[in-house]
Amino acid sequence: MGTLLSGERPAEIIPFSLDQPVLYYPVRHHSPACAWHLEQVIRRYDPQCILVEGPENANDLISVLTDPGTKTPVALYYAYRDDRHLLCQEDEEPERFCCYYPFLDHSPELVALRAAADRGIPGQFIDLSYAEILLATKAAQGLRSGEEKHNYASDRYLTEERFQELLRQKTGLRGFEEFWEKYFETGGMELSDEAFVRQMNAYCLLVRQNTPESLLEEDGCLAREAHMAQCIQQAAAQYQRVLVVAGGFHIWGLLHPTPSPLPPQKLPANAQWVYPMRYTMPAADALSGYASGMPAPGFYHQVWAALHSERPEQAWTTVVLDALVRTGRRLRKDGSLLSVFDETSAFQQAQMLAELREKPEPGLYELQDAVLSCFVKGEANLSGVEPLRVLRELTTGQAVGELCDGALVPPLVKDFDEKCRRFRLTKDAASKQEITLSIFSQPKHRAISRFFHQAEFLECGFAQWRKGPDLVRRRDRNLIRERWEYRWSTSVDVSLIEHAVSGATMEEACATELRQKMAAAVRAEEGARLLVQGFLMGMDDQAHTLASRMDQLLVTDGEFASLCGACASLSTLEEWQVQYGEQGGYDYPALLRRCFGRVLQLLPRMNSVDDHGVRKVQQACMLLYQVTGRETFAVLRPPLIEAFQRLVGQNPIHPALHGAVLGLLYGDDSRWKEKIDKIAESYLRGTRNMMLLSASFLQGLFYTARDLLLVDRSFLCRMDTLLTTLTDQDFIALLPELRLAFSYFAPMETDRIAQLAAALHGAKGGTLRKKGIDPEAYTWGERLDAWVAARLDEFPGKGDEG
Amino acid sequence: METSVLRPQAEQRYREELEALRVWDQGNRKPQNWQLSPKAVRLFILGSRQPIRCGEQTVTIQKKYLGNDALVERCVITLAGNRGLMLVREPGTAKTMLSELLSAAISGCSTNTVQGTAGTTEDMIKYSWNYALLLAEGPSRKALVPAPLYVGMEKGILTRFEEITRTPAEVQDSLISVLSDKVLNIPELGDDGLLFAKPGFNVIGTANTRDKGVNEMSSALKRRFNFETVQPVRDVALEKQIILNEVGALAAAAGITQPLDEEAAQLLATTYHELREGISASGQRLEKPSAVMSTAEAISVYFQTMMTGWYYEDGHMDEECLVENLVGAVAKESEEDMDKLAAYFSTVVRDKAQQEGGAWERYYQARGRLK
Repeated sequence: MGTLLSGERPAEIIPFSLDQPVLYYPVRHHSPACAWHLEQVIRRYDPQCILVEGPENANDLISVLTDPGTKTPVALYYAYRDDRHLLCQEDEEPERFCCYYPFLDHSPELVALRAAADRGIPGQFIDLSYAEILLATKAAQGLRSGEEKHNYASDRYLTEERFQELLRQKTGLRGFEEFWEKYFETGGMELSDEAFVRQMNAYCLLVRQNTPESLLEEDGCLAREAHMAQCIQQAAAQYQRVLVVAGGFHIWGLLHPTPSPLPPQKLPANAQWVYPMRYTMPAADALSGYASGMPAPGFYHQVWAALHSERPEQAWTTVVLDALVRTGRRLRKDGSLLSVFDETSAFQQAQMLAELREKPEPGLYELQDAVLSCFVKGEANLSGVEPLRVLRELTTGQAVGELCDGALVPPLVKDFDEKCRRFRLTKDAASKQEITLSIFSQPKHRAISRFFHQAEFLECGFAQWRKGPDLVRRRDRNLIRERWEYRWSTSVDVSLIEHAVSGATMEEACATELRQKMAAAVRAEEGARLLVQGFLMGMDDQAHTLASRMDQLLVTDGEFASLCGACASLSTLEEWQVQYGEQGGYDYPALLRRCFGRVLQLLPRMNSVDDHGVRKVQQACMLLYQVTGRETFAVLRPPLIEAFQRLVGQNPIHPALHGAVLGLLYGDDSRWKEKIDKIAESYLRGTRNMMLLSASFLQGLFYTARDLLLVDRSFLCRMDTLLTTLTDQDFIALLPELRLAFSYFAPMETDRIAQLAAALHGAKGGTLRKKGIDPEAYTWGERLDAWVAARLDEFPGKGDEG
Repeated sequence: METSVLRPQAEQRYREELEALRVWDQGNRKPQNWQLSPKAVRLFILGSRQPIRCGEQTVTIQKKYLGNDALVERCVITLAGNRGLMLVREPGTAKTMLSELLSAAISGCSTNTVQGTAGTTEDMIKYSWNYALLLAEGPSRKALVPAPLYVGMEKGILTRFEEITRTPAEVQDSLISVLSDKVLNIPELGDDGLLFAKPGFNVIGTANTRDKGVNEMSSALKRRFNFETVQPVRDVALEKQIILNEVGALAAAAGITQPLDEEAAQLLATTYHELREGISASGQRLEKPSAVMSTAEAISVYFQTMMTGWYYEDGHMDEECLVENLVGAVAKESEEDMDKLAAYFSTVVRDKAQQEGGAWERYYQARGRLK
């Protein structure tokens, strides 16, 4: 490294001279120093054309990026849908890809494009289009890796792990970012343009030398460089001074391109999209989870602004001081006792640290150190690092970008707007709007409900369901109206743009994502819930595709709880088809029957369920029983009863499940009563341990057949015996389960049981009720209380002496 | 190295390095009365990769503090400013060592120290009197017996205050006015009773945040210090290195020539690290003992085992003895800690014994000593 950084070799390998017809300028995304030197290089070189690394299918949008009305942070959103199955198997759902290319004021690429616009010279992107990059990338590599969000301009080459460690060791710094700031940002400002570029090239060459060629081929880097080199050649033939602004890592590749390994593919015109979108500072922060360039974009944005102020010479120091003061102010506002002296000490600390670390000016790391030293009072544990949290928030920034008027709007956003207009949903209110929909009586309301369900499914933060029949959670099904709250904000548009790749209309986008979620589902319960969501969104046309996948899930899923959940959802669908006027849309009963069959297979083995899971199994048994009560499914009752019989024949069996299933069997055939009596006896009069299980048994029994206690005196007598035999300690232990067991009775029924129980002990019902308190006795009680309190007050401190 | 002193002070131990650094330091900017510049102090504590030139000779500066480099830089800068430095965290995280090294490098003297205890009084910090002289001659500078704070202010050197949170809060607070005004008032001396601190004076405190019996510091005192939290070592390899370095120094001082056993250091570093963090390297969740599982404790367990081997056995490190000493170090706070240690052996150590064999296997076999 030492030999390379001495500056001799890289200058020979990558010459940088303003006399050249093509000038290559290396950059790192979001680096203010790169952008600052670039401004000067543009002024000195006076190019006739500026070429910037970036997917060329966004060339039409450059005018939006450079428009004075556009305020950073903004991003280009690239999306591609593989309808022609170029990247996946023929029988698979077409994969969707998307990535962001964020721009801040101090992004060198944006500085270059703005400069081209100001000078009235051509400025354009020269990389392969987004789809072509994907085609040139091997599966699971680069932009095709499994990350949630992709960034076109990621720093994955420059920040390679092995280098980070070596650099950390050699320089004694904490990591790559601190190294970068010391040598390229604060340090870079002291260098001439040429020296800065030489240093950049030296570092990037070193990284390049240590990156295996195979990796570059796999993630499409070589194909991209070959294409960019071709574009540069074409521009060089046309103009005398061409400035190329590209990632430092690629400069060598642009000078020595390999022949493109991939034959150009013809892509249908509408397979890929690109839109400008508003972006946020937190999203642009490298620490937000996906490599977006440098961390702390708010801090570096301020440095950039300070570099363009009237006193640019102390830019870093000014910004550090400003950040310290703002952190102090915020902490004081939140109730911290931070003094101005603390701020003074912190500023002094930052400056002296910079001097000790041989940095020309304090940077982000000195700022953090100063706050840690001077603002954190006590141990820097979770509760003590509030100052650091506030600082982090301030250095990340909160700014949200703006797009100029007339920027391109994706069709999904247009469709959303159109629907809002059609349904007269207001978009310009600052507060939340509330709307009540009579979904069963008014077709228009049902249409609005579908639209809200779609918006909710896409998670764009527009509509929130408040009240109404809840088919997903199977609650409040007696309600006939839905109540929704909605509010439009700019984040709704941003979110819709992210879904733009799924379709041009709300229905299309939801259908695509529904199919994808269904394909990814592994549990039958999950699949059935998606079916319900599809039903609510009015996705009838998707039902067949979804149901065939549901069939697969029913076969592969072996978890009882999940299958029961699926059964409940399918039962809901079957029940509500008519209500929602969707009858005949899809044969849900057939699906339910298949699901039922799977549950029956597993049911007899549920005897060993634990306390935690027994409630669910009880509910499942009840549901199965209710479903077979319907005429359509009456034929399933016999096999269900058979499964129940097998289940109660198991030993051991959880007492609560035992009781519940016996109750259902009794409901089906009252001849079971005798058997139940015997089993109940065995619990109630069994050994102490069995007796302790009886409360759980009763809870199960009353859950499904509470009438047993009301119609049968002998049952009541047995329970009475149980309660009178129990010791106080055992009674207390059983009390919670007993309470639960009696909670299934209506107040009238509880009253009746109480009277019958009282009668067993010779008391009449009326005597059980507590009489109201006599007002006179109450007044006397109050007087007595006051008297005692007064007497006690007469002994001040005597207790202490005693 | 002199063997007549049980534990030589830092300025004695590293005299050669400090002298070399003084020569190397020519031309570097340094605060008034500092023996070395901040750069040289950093170099002294963090060591140099290459030997430094000092006149005709070259001297290698050892790395003495293995941990967070930025923390050391912040400490040095804090001491150059007008606030005291307070090193906090649980015991055994090398706070005292760091404070000693800083004092030795900055002032050339690490002995100007107040040892904080529950019985520390204000006159042990500031000054007291030679009562015979006081009665004979009345109050005078001659009759005054300076304590470390007085000495630090008078000579312009650092005053170390160890375990500051062990002293009662009202005694701690006697530092407040001195730290802000940098002047000590001695009313008995009348007009001459003002001692103005010379440049170079500052206070390094160490405070324990976990032990029982510590006193909370007042906000007023906290405001006069910059706090640095010295974290336990996060890396097992580094912890092993620290154990080996420290035990090596102790052994040399005790005249033990037995070579160090890297495997035993690895066992101890892993055990202490995993129990302290509550999670094993393979991801098993562990119950953390309430006893302090610091590197300093691991060093003492190692050294004890080493001495047992040296004096009673053939000199080699015996795993059974290691486990016995480990029990002695852990079973301090409660009996439950022993259960936690036993659980660690029956899960993590067992698995490692199966996978790696060797020392881990012997370590596991010695679990019978966990009583």
